[in-house]
Amino acid sequence: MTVDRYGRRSDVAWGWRLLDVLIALRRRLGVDRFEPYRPYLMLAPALALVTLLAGGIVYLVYLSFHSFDTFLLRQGPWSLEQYRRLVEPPSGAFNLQTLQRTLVISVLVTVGAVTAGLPVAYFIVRTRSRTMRIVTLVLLLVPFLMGEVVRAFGWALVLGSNGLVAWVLSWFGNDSGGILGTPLAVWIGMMQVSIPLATLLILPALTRIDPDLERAAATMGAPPRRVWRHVVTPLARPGIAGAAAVVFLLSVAEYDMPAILGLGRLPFVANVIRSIYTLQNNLYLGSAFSLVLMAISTVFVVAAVAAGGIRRLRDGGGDG
Amino acid sequence: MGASDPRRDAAPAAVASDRPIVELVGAVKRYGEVAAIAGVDLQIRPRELFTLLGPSGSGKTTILRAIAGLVDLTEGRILIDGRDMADVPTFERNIGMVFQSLALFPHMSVFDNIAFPLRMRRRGRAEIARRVQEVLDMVRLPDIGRRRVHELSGGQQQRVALARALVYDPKLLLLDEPLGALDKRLREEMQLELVRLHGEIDVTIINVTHDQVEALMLSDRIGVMEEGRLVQVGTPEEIYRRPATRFVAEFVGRANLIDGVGEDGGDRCRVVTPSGVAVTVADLPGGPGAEYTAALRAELIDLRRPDEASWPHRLEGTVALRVFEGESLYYEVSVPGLERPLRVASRRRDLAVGDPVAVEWDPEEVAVVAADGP
Repeated sequence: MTVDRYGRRSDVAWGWRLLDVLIALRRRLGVDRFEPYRPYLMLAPALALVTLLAGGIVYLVYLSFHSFDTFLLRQGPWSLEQYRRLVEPPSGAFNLQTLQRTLVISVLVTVGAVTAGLPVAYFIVRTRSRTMRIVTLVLLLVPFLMGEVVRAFGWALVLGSNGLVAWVLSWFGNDSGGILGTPLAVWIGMMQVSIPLATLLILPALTRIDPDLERAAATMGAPPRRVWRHVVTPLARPGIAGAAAVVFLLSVAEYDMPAILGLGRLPFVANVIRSIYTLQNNLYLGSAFSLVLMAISTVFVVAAVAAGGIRRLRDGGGDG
Repeated sequence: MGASDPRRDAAPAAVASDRPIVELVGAVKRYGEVAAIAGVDLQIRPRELFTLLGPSGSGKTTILRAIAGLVDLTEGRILIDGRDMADVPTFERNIGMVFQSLALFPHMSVFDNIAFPLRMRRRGRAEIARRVQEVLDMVRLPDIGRRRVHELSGGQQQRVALARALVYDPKLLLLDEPLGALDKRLREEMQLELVRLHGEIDVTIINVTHDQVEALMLSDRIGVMEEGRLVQVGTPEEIYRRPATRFVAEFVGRANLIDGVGEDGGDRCRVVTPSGVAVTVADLPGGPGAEYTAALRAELIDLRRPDEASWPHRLEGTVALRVFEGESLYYEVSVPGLERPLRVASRRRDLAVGDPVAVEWDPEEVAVVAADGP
């Protein structure tokens, strides 16, 4: 062991010396000048992501407002041609029907998922049994452990001509051979993820409701049904609106379930856009269709959030 | 026994009926191994303000919730107006209850909060408006119907919660420590408000608190709870002057507990500690020779300089602590032979730490409790 002229022992504190070097370097470079900007720097990844997504949308808008020669595969001048083609013959009626089907089934999925998810979430929040709470939560997560396609084929087995549903139907003299290829099949397939998703999204809103509110309502003469209607549901509204918005957005963009459980007979917008992209090689028309769907879903989501009381979300669930 | 209570004398509607409005018979509530209520028999008389007093976790809130039907008993029965409540759900019991958290609905205005029980009873619009206004006047908040709950101060929220529990004229009002969260001044104001309301309306009130001052001040009768059991039921004066157990003597008021053996010392009985300190008392309920605890209330004993001492019922020591408390001073006097100094609330201001003093008392004012056993 030696001691240098600054009194530093050679056998210890290499780590401290390294820190000294770093601190000196930091002073030399004047890093502290940037200190006030640090919060903004930490936002950078988020900003980068938003910019990337926004850039993509801008590009879609750019494409959708140009004409395109499908024979020469050459971009033409600015025009409304794509939007016109979307609604005019030959495929206009088909496109509109697809759009309608997408929206109707998505609304039905949203309503079903929230209606089923609310009581499940309530059970998880209020059950006294820790075991039941954990078991329910794990069961809710199971559907997410499987790939969408695997899940779809699983349902195809259940709903198809040799499946459970066809067998049960045959008891009642119905030999139609299952319900595969019907809107009901698509709806059922989509509900499997949507119910757990809605449940998990409603959960935090219910957790914030003071159980004393329900007890108080009961002492004041409200039977459980009316406690539910006048106390629980209104207080869970922000959570319900949020869950509805998310489930709806994911449903509108659904691809596998209509493709597999609809047997290709019941395409959603996403399925049609894919065929426009890959079979017709027409990015321009596909962009237009995407943007139309996006605009319509945005209206739906804004309506849902407004109905759920965006003000209340800001007040922290309304327990102010 | 209520005759000595001046407030009761002022209220003409005296305790008339002999049938209890609420009756608990052998009530037990167990959560797994733990008994929150360990066998309670209790009768609440019509029109009285009864307080369940006890430290937290003593089971007083569980009793209240069981009466409201929010908790099912493991054993025993609850009768309201003579009717067994086992199969009557909370919403059919017609009980008013104010929760510790107040449980005002945050998504409703003050008016809608108070109108809620009336709407559950499907009353008409005009009647609802009239009744809500009446109770708002009653709690002295006539103009706040349109406000939202979170715009109110703590004291106002308290009154709204009370108004909401009274708007449908329940015969029974349960209060689950609703005053606990308020600051001292507001709490005292609300306590007086409660006494006033109780005098004005025909309602039986069961109040739960751990605040012994509140219990003594408000109640017609008090039930003291310890570990799921009701250890004493009586008027505030009985509880204060004649505690049934050492626990009650310690919990209610500020008492100096001195443990010893009872001796019959000629004209006066005494409780003598193992170290030889003797406390003169009025009588020994179980005769001489048994173990007793003498409770000297800090407020009921006084200090003298040794040369001023006027009678033999006293202990001599030195002032160990002197704290100014406003209306009185708080002294601690260490007495040779006692483990803990005696606590005394006195008006005397001329004594300093280190001064020799005599602590004096009237033997009639000393509560004597037979030892609780081992």
